[in-house]
Amino acid sequence: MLVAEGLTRRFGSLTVVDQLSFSVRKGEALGFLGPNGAGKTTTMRMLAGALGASAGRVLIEGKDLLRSSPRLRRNIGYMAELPPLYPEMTGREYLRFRGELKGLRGREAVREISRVASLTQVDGLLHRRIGKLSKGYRQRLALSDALVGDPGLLLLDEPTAGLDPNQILETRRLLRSLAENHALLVSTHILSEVEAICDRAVLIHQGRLVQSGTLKELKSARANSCLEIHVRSDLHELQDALLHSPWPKAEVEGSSLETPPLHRVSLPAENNELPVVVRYFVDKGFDIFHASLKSSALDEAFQFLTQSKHHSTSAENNMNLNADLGDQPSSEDGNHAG
Amino acid sequence: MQTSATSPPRKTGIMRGSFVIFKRELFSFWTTPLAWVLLTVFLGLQGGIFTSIVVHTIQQGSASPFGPLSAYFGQQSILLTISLLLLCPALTMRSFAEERKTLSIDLLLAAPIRSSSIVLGKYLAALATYLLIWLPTVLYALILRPTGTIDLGALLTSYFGLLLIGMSSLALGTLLSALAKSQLVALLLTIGVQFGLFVLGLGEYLLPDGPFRDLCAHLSLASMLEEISRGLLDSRRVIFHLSLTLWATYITTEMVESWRSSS
Ligand SMILES: Nc1ncnc2c1ncn2[C@@H]1O[C@H](COP(=O)(O)OP(=O)(O)OP(=O)(O)O)[C@@H](O)[C@H]1O
Ligand SMILES: [Mg+2]
Repeated sequence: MLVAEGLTRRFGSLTVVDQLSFSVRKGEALGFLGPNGAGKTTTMRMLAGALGASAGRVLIEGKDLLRSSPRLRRNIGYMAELPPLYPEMTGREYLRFRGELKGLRGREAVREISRVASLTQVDGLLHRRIGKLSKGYRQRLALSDALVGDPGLLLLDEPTAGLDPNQILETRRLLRSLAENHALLVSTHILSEVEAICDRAVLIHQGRLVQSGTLKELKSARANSCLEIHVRSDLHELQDALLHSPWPKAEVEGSSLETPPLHRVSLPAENNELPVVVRYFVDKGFDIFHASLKSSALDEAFQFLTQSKHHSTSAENNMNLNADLGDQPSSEDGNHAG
Repeated sequence: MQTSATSPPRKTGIMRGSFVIFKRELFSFWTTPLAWVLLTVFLGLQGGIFTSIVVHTIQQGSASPFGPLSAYFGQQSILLTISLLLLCPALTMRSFAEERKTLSIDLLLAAPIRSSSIVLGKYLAALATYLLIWLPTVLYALILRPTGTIDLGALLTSYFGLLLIGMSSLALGTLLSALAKSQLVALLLTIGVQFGLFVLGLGEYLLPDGPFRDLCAHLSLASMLEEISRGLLDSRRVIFHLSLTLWATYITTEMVESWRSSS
């Protein structure tokens, strides 16, 4: 349904989205994860056809979005971040306008408006001016806007931001059910949201894709954190010691011409194993010149993600996810108020 | 939706899309204070000018040999020009600048309509509002009709001229609104450019004879107003305003297209 190929966007000299490639099939919800400023919104705008790409292309049902007739965009429902709506219109007028843009007319439009409004439960307030609606209602109105005309692809940029806990649950349930016969791309920086809605997720950081797969795969990828130590020794001795250590898969890089040469050793180990590692090598008679935690882009991205939970208004963001990740397990408690 | 598979891609009607945008723009003009404020100020000003001309005509005879209406469109044209210089930019300042600021432009750019539909819809809504604001001045002609001083040809030419001026300056304003980052900048830019044209027109009176002076005369809004008030409309002026309109609308469309398709 949707394929992004090498999508890149530069603003001046700043590359905000860098060579992103992924795809979403019909009947699937793909989570689009990334910390603030990762480039999620920029990507969404490009996928929706609202912003040109510096390189790469977007295929909708196999057709290049920019080279095809605008009609192709009827297949796309786009909900923008902080949805901009026209404050002087009522909800009904707005949805009608959006429906007409998508080619709906008369009776058909009226029926469609009541269908989407009841899906997102905004039907009670369609007569109110948008400028007077609460943030949550506006958010849901924007969601119903994306659903108008029942497009096969839904691009939703943080659809639950600003909703109360009940509405978050309702919306997630709705999105979950929509995923059965639509292609859904849901951007968020809340891990539990992805868990609740999505089958797969891509994680981006500083505009680059750092990981994609099922949420389980993402989490286990996270577990492969890495320690680095610098050891001055003979290479054979070092390799021999590593082979009999608990970390036989450690990678060794030589970096110096001195004798004995300095080696950088990367060990697949958890952060809290650092003392164990150091003691192991010291006991074997190696001199350690440097020991550190190596943080990968994935690590960094996840760190941001788990921190951003502080700002989430959702009371039901499940904490076990944090426990799974082994990251700041206790600091989260009692922090729902944000 | 069923037709999408069979109909050729170019069939996405420019007019259908434009009409949807047009309706919304017109709606937003008249449901927010802007159009009403402009209407009030504009009519207040025009009413004042008109009244003073009528009073003048009653007391001292017509200010123009072609009758009081002609004086209104013609000899008082400095006042008219100045109000036009302000009216048109105010009508177009929001057009794109505001939507770009609130990012609601994204929803139009992502919509299944052509860039030309977006531009045309917005432009025509501004033009329609401009004409609606002028509409009440038709009353002046009706008021004066019993005096028998109305030259119908001159009257129609005058309104046609005003339509031309409106078309070109609204097209220019729409373009500048697409260029500017905020509506205030769009307003000032458009006034600036219009004023530049106006000053260029004054060259007619200041420059020595020669090609430059001719050029200034062609561009001069003031002398155009003066001519149309007497029922004269030089085809070169028509061509100038029409081509300015087409050029500005075309460039605007290209700009909108560039936002959605390349960086
Ligand atoms: N029009 C623009 N001009 C210049 N820089 C921009 C523009 N739009 C976005 N950026 C930059 O691109 C980067 C990514 O922004 P983007 O809004 O895509 O991030 P995001 O992943 O959606 O973040 P968030 O989670 O906060 O919504 C940011 O550093 C931002 O400053
Ligand atoms: Mg964003």
